Amino acid sequence: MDEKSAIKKGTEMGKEFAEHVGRLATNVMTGDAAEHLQKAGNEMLCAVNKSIEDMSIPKETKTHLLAAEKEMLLAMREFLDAALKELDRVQRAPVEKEDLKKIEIRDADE
Amino acid sequence: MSTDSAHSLSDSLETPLTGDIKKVAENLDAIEIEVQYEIESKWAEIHNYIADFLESQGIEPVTAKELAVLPGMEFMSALFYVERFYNEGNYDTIIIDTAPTADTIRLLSYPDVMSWYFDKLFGIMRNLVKVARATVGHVMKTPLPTDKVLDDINLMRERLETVKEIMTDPYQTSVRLVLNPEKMVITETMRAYTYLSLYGYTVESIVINRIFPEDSGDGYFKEKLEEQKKYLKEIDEAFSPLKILKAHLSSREIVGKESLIMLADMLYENDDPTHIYSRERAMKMYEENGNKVLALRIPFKIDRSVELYNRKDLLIVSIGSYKRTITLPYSYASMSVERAVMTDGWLKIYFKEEDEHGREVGNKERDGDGEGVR
Repeated sequence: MDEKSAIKKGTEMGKEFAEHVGRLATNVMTGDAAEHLQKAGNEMLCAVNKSIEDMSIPKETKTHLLAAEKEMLLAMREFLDAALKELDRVQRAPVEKEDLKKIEIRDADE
Repeated sequence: MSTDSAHSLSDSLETPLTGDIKKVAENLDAIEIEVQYEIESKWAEIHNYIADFLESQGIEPVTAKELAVLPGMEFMSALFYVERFYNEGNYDTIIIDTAPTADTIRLLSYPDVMSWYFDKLFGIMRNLVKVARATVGHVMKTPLPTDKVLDDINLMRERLETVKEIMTDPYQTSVRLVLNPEKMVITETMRAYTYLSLYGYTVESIVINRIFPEDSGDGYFKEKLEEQKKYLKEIDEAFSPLKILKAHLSSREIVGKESLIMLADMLYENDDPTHIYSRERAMKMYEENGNKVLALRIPFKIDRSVELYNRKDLLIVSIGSYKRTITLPYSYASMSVERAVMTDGWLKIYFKEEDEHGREVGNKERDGDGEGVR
């Protein structure tokens, strides 16, 4: 397999994986799980940022940390987009609404 | 247990009572429910949250605390005592001395009304709070309810459901209506009986109080006696076959143990006061000539019209401004209402089966081939 085909295959696999994660997020993952995952990511990044505030660390490490933070934000954006898409779908879906029907009451004593 | 905000139970018993249970005599405890005390001691989380919320909206802290008593919380506190006493099983009988008619109807309709709100709104509110907490919660100034507040609200919902089950079970709870032989009071009692039946309570007897004795005297009292005789006859005719207990107007005020025993002797003679005279449910489901029927006790055609609405598994019955929503069991929900008839103090609602096209099942003329769809 040449380099171009390998990149193409890799990109397709990446897309499939992203779609799979998307399905998990919207269909499998509960609201609570998503909330906890987001909180865990936030907490971890906050802890790392705090611990390296005054430390002399390699530039490459900082770059990776920034990239991790960016990925985290992108993940959150994906979650929000998926949630918005789901809301749109629900809003567009025809609502089966049946109105209350008034029942006439007959008086047997009259 | 007195639930009337203008308590008079302590006067009747000649014993000072508070919001705590107090031993009045051997085998007799009493309590006068105090709303503010109940809310602050039992529902602190919800109360504090509402007070904090109001404060965040610019209301003075003291005023916010006062306003944090939501309408109906006093009813809830009283009803939760019923649940507590029932679960603890320390008492043979619990007597609730309620307020006059309107407040009593509000108290007893509270579980039914609130279960509607809880069913419809609580789930939405819980989800909204979770989303808000994870998103805008970090930046907004208005406090969001904590998990403890949400848990407390959910606990309220569950406890009210239990109370509803206890209080609408004629083997556990019965209602006795007290009236004086006067036209306006009779009409009000008829309304109370009708509304209580609507909410599924079994009214099993009425107590006619303050009847003038035959030897009341001449002049004014003779005329009054004649008027009372007319009203007593009306009560007999209107409320029959309900058990009627009678007490004469006492020459002295009914206050204190001796007077209360005298009144009890007059009402019950040798009967057991805790004896239940009727266990007939105010709502029944049965079959009549192969048709499923749901019957609701509506004893009087009072001046407010009865209306009935249906949607799938919901049945709404309203009398004036009082409304009861009944969620139909599965076997009824799959059918449609064929007709509703008011007869002998019962609203009978007849159900019929329908196929998926809304056609009546088993109707030869409409089905054409004479075979009912199964």
